[in-house]
Amino acid sequence: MNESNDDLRLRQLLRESRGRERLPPRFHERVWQRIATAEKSAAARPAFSLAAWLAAFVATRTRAAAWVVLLLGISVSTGYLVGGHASARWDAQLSRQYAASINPYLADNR
Amino acid sequence: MKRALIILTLGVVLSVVGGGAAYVHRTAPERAMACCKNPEMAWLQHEFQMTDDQLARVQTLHAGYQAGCREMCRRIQATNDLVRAEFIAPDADTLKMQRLLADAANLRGECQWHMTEYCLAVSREMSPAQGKRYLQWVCDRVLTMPGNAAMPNPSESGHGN
Repeated sequence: MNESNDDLRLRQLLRESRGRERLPPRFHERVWQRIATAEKSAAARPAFSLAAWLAAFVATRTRAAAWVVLLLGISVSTGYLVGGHASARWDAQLSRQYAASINPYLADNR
Repeated sequence: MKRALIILTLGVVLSVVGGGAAYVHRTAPERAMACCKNPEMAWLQHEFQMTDDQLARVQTLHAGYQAGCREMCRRIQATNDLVRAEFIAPDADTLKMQRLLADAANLRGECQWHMTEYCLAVSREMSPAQGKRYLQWVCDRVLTMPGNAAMPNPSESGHGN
């Protein structure tokens, strides 16, 4: 009995409050506009999108493993390639040194 | 997000280590040669696949050749100085100059002959196939003596020590 009295009072209060406070004009439209603006600015931030993309990319174990293998593959091939160039350069320099140790004219005309 | 960062960091760290290891592995022979006492001889051994015994014999030949070569360079320089002095002298003796130039040419010929002898001796210390490769390499890169080149100074030339 007491509970139903409370319900009645609550409903009455709600009705009164609705009547008293009126929403500003184009309230709903403005709310949707603000949501759209917030979404746009979030997407425009590159760090956010990159982080989100990375998080999505490494979300599964297979993708995460693929990511690590890809990075490793690229760096190992780069290391080998750069090492090959350095090695060829050193080889050429040492061969010139040997040639100059036999023929001093080569040392003077390098 | 945290997991993504951990995987990304792991991937980057692994790739840096992997790339570095690949570089170190690829350049290992050259770095070992560069640390040697005689890098050019280490290069010769590596390039023409010589054994340690072969290298030891070639090093003996090389040391002997360099001593002779230094002396030859000194003589060429001395003759060259005489030619220059005679050339700019007010009363230049053309006959004397002719003789000096002939001496200089003979010395250069002698020098080239010593070089050729040394190269042939080195090639004989190698395996036949490598010896042939060595002679081809020497022909292309070493047995050239430009006619208009300045005479080498024994102290500045490529005698190493």
